[in-house]
Amino acid sequence: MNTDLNSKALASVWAPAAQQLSFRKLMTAFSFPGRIEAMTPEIPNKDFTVLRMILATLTDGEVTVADPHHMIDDHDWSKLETNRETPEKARFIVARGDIAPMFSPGLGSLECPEMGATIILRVEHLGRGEPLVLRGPGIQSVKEVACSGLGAAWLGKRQEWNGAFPMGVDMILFDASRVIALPRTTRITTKEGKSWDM
Amino acid sequence: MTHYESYPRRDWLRLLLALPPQKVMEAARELTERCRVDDQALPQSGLALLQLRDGALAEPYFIGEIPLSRAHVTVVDDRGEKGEGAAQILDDRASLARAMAILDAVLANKLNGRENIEILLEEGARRLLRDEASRGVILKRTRVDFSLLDATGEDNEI
Amino acid sequence: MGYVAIKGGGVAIKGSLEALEALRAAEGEQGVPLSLSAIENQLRLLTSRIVSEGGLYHPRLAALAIKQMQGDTLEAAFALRAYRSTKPRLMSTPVQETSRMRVIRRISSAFKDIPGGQMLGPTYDYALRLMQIDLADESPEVFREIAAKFMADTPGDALPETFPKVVEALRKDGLLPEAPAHDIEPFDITREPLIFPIPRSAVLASMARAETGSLLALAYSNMRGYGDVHPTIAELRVGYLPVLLPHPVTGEAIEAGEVLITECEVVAMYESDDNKGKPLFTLGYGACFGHNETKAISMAVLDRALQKGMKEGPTNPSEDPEFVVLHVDGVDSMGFANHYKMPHYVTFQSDMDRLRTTQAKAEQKRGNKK
Repeated sequence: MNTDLNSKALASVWAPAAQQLSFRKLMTAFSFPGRIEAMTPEIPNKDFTVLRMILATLTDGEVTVADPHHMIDDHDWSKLETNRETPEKARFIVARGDIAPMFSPGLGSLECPEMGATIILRVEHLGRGEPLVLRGPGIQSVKEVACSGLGAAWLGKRQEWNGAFPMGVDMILFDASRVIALPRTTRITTKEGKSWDM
Repeated sequence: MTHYESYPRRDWLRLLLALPPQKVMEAARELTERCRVDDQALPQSGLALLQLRDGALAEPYFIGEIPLSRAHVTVVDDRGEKGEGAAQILDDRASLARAMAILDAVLANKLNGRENIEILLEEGARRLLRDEASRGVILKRTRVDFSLLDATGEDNEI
Repeated sequence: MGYVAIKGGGVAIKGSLEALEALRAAEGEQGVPLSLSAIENQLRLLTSRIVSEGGLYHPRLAALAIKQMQGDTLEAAFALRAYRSTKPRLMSTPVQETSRMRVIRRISSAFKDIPGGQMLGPTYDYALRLMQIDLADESPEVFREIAAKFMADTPGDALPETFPKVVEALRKDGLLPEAPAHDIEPFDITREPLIFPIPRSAVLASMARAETGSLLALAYSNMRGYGDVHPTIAELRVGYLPVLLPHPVTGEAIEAGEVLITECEVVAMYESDDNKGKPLFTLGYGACFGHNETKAISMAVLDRALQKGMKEGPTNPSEDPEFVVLHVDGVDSMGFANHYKMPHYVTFQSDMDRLRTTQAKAEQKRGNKK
C-alpha cells in the first residue's frame, strides 16, 4: 500500500482503515477504563467529529441506535445504514451528558448480558472538571480521571442500571477529541468519597 | 439500431453485467468528467443471504450467501438536469456497482451522455444472446426422445 | 520432566509455510502456475463443491482457495468461510422462485413425461468409467476448439430456458399434499447458534453447506436399511437462478446476477396425514450452490428422514437431527479432527502423572496383599 492510498484512507471517517484504527482505540479504552484515548485523525479532514467516528466504527445494519437528544443528522443516518430504535430497545444510545436521562435502557438478560445497551455520552471536557475515581478490572488499584459536563443524575442512574450485574450498560464518554470508556464492571466514586457503586 | 427503450430498466444491470467490467467502468468514468455525481449512500461491498423456498414443504430457507455490492447516486448533467440511479449486483466490487448506478441514473432520467450507454446495452444483449444460445444447445443436444423407447419397447424380448 | 516448553515453534512454523510453497512449486523450471480460470472451468465440479461447502457463491474465489490449499477440499472450504466472515452483511434477499432457473439439466426418474421434457445436460451418469489415456497428453489446439465445435449449428427450434417444477404438476394432480406458502422467518445459521430442537430451515441451511462425503455416508446408511426412505427422484435440475432484488429507487425487481444451483425433490413413501385424510406421497428436498448432484440427492434423502425423525422420534441415526446436523459440517469436523495435532503437552502431562499415581497405588495394593 503506497502512502498516497494511506493518506486517502485516513482522510474520511467512512474509510475502513480509519474505522479499524478507531476500533482499536475504543477497544483499548474499554480494556483500560478511564484511560483517555485521542480519537482525532492524523491527517485532518472536514468530516471528522468524534461522534461520527464512533458511530461509523461501531454501528451497521445489524444493530439498532437510539438518538433521543437529536445528535445525529440526517446525512449521517443515511451513511450509517443502521436501524433507528427507541432508547428502551436500542443496542446503542447517543445522549448528552448534561441532560438527565429520561429513559430506561436495555440491560440485557442473565442469559445474554451483552445485549445491554452501550451509551455514547457527550461530555464537555475529559481531563478537566470533577475528578472521578475508578476501580475495577483493567485498573491497577485506582484511576482518577476528570470530567466536566457529566450530570450527577447519570452516575446515579448508572448505579441503578448496573445493580444486577452481569446485566447493565456500558458507556463511552466523548468530548471534542477524546474518549474514555466505563464498562459496567468499573466502580466509580468521587474524590470526596461519594460512591456510585457498591 | 434499436432504441434503448426496448430494454426495460429491470434488464439494464443484466445487460451491463454481461460486458467486461472495464467497459462499464470506462463509460462511467467518461460520464463523471461531464457530470456531477453525489453518493446518496456509501457504496458498499458485502454479502447477502440468498433466500429460497423449498420444493417439498414450501418453507423459506437460506441456501447460503452471495457477494453483493450496491451504490445509490444522484447525477447532475452538463445541462443541469438531475436524476437518481442505483445498482445492486452479485459482485464484490463496490466501484463496479457505483459505475452501474451512474449509468442507471443517466439512462433512467434521460440525461446527457446516454447514447454511449445505449450502445453498451446492445453489446450486452448480443453477449447474453450468445450465452443463452450455448445453454440452449446443451438442452437441445441432450433432450430425451422417449418416443423411440416406446417404439422399440415391444421388440425387446430376451 | 519439570516444565514442559510449548513456546519456540515460530521458526518451525515459518519453515512449514515455506515448505508448503516449495512443494506447490516443485515442478521448478517446467512449472506453469495454475490460472484461476483453468480451475474454474476445467475443474468445474471441484469448484462447485467448494462454493457450496464454503457457503459463499463466488466461483472465482473458490478457485483461488483450491489453488492456495493445493486441492485440499476441506481447507479450501475453510478459506472461503474465513473470507466471508470478513465481509459485512448487507441484507437477505426476498424469496427467489427456483422455477425461474435457466436449466442446463433437468431429469425425473419417477416420471417419464414431464411438462417440458427431460434434458440430460452435462452428466457422467451414462459414461463408461474407462480411463481416457489420450487426455494425458492433450493438444492445446484441439482443446481450444472443443467448445466451439459443440456449439456449432444445432438444428431445431429453440427450447425454452425455464420449465415448471414437476412437483407443482403433482400437486395439481392431487398426488402431493398442498404446500401453502409459509412466511416464517428462516433461521440464520451464520448468526444464531444451533440449540436443539431446531426448525427445518436451520436443517436445510446447515446441509446446504455441509461436506458432501459426510452427507452421502449418512444418506447411504438410510438407503441401505438404517432407515426406510426409498427415494425416487421427482425432479433433479441444475441451472442458473436469476437473483431478483428490489431497485433501491423504484422498488422494481431487478436481476442482480445469477447463481448456479442444483436442486432435487425425491418422492418417498406415501403416508396418511394425521387427520386420516387420503394417503399422499411425501417429499424430501435438497439444494446447494454449484453443480453437485450427489450432495443434492443425499440432502433430499436426509431431509425426508429428518422430517420423519422430527415428527415421530428418530429410530436411526439419519433420522436424528442432532446426529445429522452436528456432524456433517466439513469445517467443524475437520477442525476438530485436526486440532488433536496441536500441542496438548500440559493436558497430557497431567494424564501421565495420574497414570503413574494409579500404577503406584496398584503396586502398593499388591505389595500389601502378600
